[in-house]
Amino acid sequence: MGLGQLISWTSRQIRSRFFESLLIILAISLGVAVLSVVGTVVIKGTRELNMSDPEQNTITIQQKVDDYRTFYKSGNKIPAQLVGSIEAEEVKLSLDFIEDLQIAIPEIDTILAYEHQGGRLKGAPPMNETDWRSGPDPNWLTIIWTLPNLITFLNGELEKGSFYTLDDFKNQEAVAVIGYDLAQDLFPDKDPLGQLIELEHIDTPLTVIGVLKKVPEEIPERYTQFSWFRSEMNRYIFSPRHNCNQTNDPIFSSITLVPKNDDPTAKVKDYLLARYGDSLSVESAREELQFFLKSMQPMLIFIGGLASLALFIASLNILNLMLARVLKRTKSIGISKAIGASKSNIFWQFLIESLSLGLLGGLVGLGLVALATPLLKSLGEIFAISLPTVFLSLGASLTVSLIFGIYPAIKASRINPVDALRAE
Amino acid sequence: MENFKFLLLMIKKRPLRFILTTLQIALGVLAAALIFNIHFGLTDMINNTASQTSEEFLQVSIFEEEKMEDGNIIHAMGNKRLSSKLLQELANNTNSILGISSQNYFHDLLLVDKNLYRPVGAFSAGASFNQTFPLEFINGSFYTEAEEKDNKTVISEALAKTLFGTTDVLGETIGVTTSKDSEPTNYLVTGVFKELPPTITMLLGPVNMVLTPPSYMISESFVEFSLRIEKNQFTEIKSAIEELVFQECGPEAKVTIDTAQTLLNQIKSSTDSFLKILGILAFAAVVVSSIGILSIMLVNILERTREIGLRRALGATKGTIFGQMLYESIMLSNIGGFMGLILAAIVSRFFNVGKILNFMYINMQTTQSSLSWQAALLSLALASIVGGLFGIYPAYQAAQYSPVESLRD
Repeated sequence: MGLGQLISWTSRQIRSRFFESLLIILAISLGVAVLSVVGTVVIKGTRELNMSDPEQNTITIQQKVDDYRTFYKSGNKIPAQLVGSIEAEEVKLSLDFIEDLQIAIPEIDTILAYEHQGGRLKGAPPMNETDWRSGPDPNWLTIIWTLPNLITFLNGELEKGSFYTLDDFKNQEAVAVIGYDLAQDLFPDKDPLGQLIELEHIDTPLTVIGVLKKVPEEIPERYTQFSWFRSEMNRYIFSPRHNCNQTNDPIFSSITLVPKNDDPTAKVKDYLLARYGDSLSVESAREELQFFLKSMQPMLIFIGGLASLALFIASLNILNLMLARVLKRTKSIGISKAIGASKSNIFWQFLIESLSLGLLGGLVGLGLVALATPLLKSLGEIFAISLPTVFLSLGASLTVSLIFGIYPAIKASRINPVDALRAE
Repeated sequence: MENFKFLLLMIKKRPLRFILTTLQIALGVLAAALIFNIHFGLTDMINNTASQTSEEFLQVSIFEEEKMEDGNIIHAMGNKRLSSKLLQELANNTNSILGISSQNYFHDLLLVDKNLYRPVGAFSAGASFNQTFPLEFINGSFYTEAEEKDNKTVISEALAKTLFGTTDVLGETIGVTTSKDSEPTNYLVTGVFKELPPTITMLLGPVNMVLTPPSYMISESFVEFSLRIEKNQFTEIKSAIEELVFQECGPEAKVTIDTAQTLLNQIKSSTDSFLKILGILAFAAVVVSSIGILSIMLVNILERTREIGLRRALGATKGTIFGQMLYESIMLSNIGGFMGLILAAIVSRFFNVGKILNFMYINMQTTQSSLSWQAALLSLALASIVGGLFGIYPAYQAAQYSPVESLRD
């Protein structure tokens, strides 16, 4: 029996029991519709949380005592974790510390260290009360005190001038690399290079040695702790000079590690513990996410279970009705067998029938989702169906109809022609 | 009784079909029962939490609305304040206000514990704190107004046990600092209190330690303060506070007043949309299982055409046949419904409200760990309705069979 014959036989069967088949298809389609919408949300959600981007895998090191979150991380429960000894000498997050760490752990790609500082432009008119209400101070400039590698890490390119070097940083030179928009605002008619930026409460004015190219405003693919930098870079001042005149051996309050591909958190923790004792807090973004996901887990399992329940019920329906069909057709199967149909002929007849019911159900289900798309989109972009979900739902409906169609098909193929013909 | 015999016969003849049909219903009922259970569990949890005390606690904050350049409105706090004198007057003039106080929260407070730092959140407050939030003491008592200038503290049972291993710690001192760069200040422990009820911790967060305010924190005017009031006086006191703020701070000042109840309502409304999504999923499962019973009943009557014809020929009326078929479908649904309840009772042991809503960090105790009776009853009713509704059409079909034609088949 060829495929064409099988299909025409199947369509005849479906037509002859039209209402019943319609109900099966409807049941499957509802199950598929629910599963595909929930599946889309889960797939899109996990893709959003996909940690393939090293920027999302950062590790932050700071003094444990400074990390006030230790209390919150213990769930606000007493006893909170004990941190940092009162007598122990503080581990200084200095340039030497960074260099040692980079050598000790080759899995680290970049070590960033920065602090937000800032000040008001000298000579700017003071803010009065109405100004405060109208928004942030336009004369307040943000200075990022950082190692030079942060600018290259953020893909900052020079419009003119040059970057400062690590030596400039070590010497705490009073120089600055500024964003494009800021350069336009501060020095509209002049060449910004070599100009001085003077801020209140800061003794040494900063000399502009470089201007960055304009960073286009675009919505980032995913949000990381650096997204904000990128969106604000056009107005930032990057400088090696600390506000408070840290002339010798600058110390950072926290440093950020960007790993290569593997997650080196455990290695970093071991290394720091062995070398400096238990006084530094090591915070990995991946661990935070896992912690978050773990709290979501019961809910996700619950929703996933509910979403697959409908399809499972629908497949029980297939099983039930296919068994009834086998029973109903016992006599005709007997006749087919008596005139020469093989076991596998009968088996395939019934399996193809349940598979096509499943496939039709899947297609109708997708149609339902397509109809509901405007409604789903209004709930949120994450609900809009995508290609992987189409495959997921068709695959799911075919799989269940295969699994639950096998038993009736086997039962049909085993029918003994003699008994079948004798039976009422 | 006759109907029941026919049902038993049918079950005996097609046991697998019976199992599959009831299982379909059971799974539909399971989905419905779980959702009902979450709904009732949440309502219970909220009612339990709210009814724990006979008094209400209010957290008031005064702010101004500011329009930002991007059109967003932010709450600016600090400019508009009420003086402590005015607050005291308000309390004296209103009988239903039982206590009024203001406290500050140090989120970065470090305790010195055997030469190690231990980060703990703590409140700095005057003696009036105890009038607003009456603490229940195991040992000692709250510091008095006269002691406010000294360094005194009261700590929770849990903190006492953590720091000293015992609750008998009166006269001990605790070193406290906000930064590792500065010398710790010693505070004398004057009392150890029991854990506070959720009506208070929902407003304040966890209270582990209350200490006398450092001099730089003592203020004569407040943007935030707390009240203890008699139950059911909320609306009256709310308008009294709003009027006072309007008079003192001008029309641009606004007030938010939180109580445990308003916070609970917020939690409820934020979980409502989540429950709706779950409800849709469960509804789909119920619809699919009703389609299941409809289609299998249609097959049933088709297979029993001869039986029905024979009964009609022997004198059964259309009504009898209709009744019998409807009875079968309702019975199947109810048997399925009971199976579903058993499943739901098992599943809800593993997924109670607290666990499912875990990710929302709701700080409440849940007592519910099994299926609530309301949920069970509702889902059984649902099963009967489904069986009845979707059994009508097949039963009607069966009743239409003409005896002559059915027997000729």
